[in-house]
Amino acid sequence: MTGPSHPPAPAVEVRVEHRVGDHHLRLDLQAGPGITVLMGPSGAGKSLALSIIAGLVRPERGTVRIAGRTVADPARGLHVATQVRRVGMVFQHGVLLPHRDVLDNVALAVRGGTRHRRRTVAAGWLARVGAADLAARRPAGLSGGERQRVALARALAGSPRLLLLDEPFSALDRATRSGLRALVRREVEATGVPALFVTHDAEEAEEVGDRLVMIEAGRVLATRTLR
Amino acid sequence: MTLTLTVTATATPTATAAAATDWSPLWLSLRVSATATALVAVTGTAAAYLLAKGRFPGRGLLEAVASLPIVLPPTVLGYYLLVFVGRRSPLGRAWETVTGRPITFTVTGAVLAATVAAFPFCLRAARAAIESVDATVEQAARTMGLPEWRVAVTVTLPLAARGIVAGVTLAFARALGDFGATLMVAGNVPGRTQTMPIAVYDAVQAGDDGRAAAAALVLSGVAVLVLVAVSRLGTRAP
Repeated sequence: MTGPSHPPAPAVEVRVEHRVGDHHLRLDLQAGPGITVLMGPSGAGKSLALSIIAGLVRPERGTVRIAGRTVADPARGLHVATQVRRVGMVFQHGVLLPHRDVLDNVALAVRGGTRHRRRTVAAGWLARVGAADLAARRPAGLSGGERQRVALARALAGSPRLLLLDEPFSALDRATRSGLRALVRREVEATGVPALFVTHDAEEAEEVGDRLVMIEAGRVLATRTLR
Repeated sequence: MTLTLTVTATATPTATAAAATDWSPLWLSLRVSATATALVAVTGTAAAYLLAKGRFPGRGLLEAVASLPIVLPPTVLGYYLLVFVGRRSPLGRAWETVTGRPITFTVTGAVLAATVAAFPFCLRAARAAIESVDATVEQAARTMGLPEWRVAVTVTLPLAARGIVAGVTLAFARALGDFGATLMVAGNVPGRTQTMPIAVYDAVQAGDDGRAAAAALVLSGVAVLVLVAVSRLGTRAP
């Protein structure tokens, strides 16, 4: 626990080295509160960074801390499972469970409580992101924008300590993208959940972010405050 | 046509009546293969999951051994089973001490033979189906906080269900059709361990072509149904 005399721990601190094929990630960054945008060209290591933070990839060296708690430290053999890191993740194409309806997709992410309560909470999240009418639909029948709304509701429904968005709107048309960026900003402000938002689009970075971290070839090039 | 004529010429009225009423090999076969299929569905799917997801030493060897029944001559498979569970083997003696009955020359032996023969069919199909599930969906489930066992039960197995069911269906056909291993382990005791495939052999040996034809037709019908079911499971979109 952070004592009253200490400043609050950053939402996430990453200091890792990791090699995949030709890519060599050597990342040193801190983020939060608000929305931190990780921007850079394809193959810069942005998505890999999110996977390492989420615990989906084990870094070779270094540490990852979420809300002041170390969740990965290979030197000490520490790797906290994704399930207990409490990160909400929005993937590029939503990645909803294809065999479950929209309400189930969100309800499964709600932690604790009875099935009835989880479904009520899930319905509330769907309403907040403007997807209440999609509750009974299967993911295959949704448009790209609808899918990402549901994915955002699902990521937030688990009361995450950190929200990770991996190029969530890059496959959508301009108008849909703009609406969803506003939705993400609104929800991050309302919930106070810090977010890391990966994009390669400078306009999107300006529109959605509080801070910008430029990444290229696996390294942080520059950091800038946007708001 | 020739078959009908032969049946009329060789079967006595009594033999025909007996053949028409003796359905015990069919019921025994269904009982044995249903039990074997249930065992295979559970153990085969669990083993397939471990082989698909687990990273442990000896994984390749384990899979090779589990797949042996596909390539081994059934009599050789039956011989190995006799060695492992025969009345003089430690396992066979332990079983007999606990249950009071041997495994060999009983229905239990027939179930064991059918289970071992059918196991790899389920294992291989289920493993392929589990491995073909999109890993990103499983990762998404982890970020949703679902523990590993729930990722398996809620995501992986339902998405692999079609392939698993196809494997279980093939396993049922293999269990129903087993001849060599069953004959070696359970023998050919009419009314007790004589399954349908053995009854066909028995009928031909006894010159009872009517009984042989009837049993062969039933087994062929089931085989065709299984193939249709498997091909429908394989072609329909999930």
